[in-house]
Amino acid sequence: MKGLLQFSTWMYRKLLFVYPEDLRREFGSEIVLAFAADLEESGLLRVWRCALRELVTVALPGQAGNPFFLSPALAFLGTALTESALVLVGIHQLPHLSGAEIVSMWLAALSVSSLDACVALVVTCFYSRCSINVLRLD
Amino acid sequence: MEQLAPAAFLILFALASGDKHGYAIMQEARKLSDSGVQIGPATLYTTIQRLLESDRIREVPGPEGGDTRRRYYRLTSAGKAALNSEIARMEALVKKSKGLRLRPAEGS
Repeated sequence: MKGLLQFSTWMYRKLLFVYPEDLRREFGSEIVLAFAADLEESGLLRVWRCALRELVTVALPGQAGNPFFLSPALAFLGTALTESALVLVGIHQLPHLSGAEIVSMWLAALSVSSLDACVALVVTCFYSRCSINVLRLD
Repeated sequence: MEQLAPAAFLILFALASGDKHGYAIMQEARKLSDSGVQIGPATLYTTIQRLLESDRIREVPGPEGGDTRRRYYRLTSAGKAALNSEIARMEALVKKSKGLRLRPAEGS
């Protein structure tokens, strides 16, 4: 059990990269300390449920102005939703599919979504280097 | 005075009983809200950051022999004013709700 708690804390520390940089820099270590203490007191399930909710309510709004986070996240989400719908239709249409085939379909959907996120990040980086030319009419 | 968010209100309320570090604030806030408001670590420190910026709380040295990895926080006079204002607002709302007889009177 102790190993699981340590792994959870390690996972959460890694997950902190999605939070705004100023929050991480100022309070990162204390956030992890509070998470670890809460894990021991409240249990794995409750603490992770809360942590995942905070990803949506705290991390995403905090990164709203950061295009390097927002564009890959939106690309990933958009593709993941479309691909998930396709996988679900596939499973529905082909009921004889084996478990391994279904898992590989989900993995393929995840890979395509991740690839889309990478492309979005590269495009954002490329365009952030381009200067905006303003036409002067006078 | 602007209305406080539930997390900010609970953090100020938790600090009204004395200086505390982040996790102690989280535990106290949970007790105060009867576990009704879930304040996780990220919500806690995001709110602490905002309260520090608005001078409603300030960082203070921890007690002798306390956990040096944790920072302690104290309510400022601006924080007390904000807390009192919020409590007054809530009291006014409760008073109004009683006037509307939204809930059955005790004993009926």
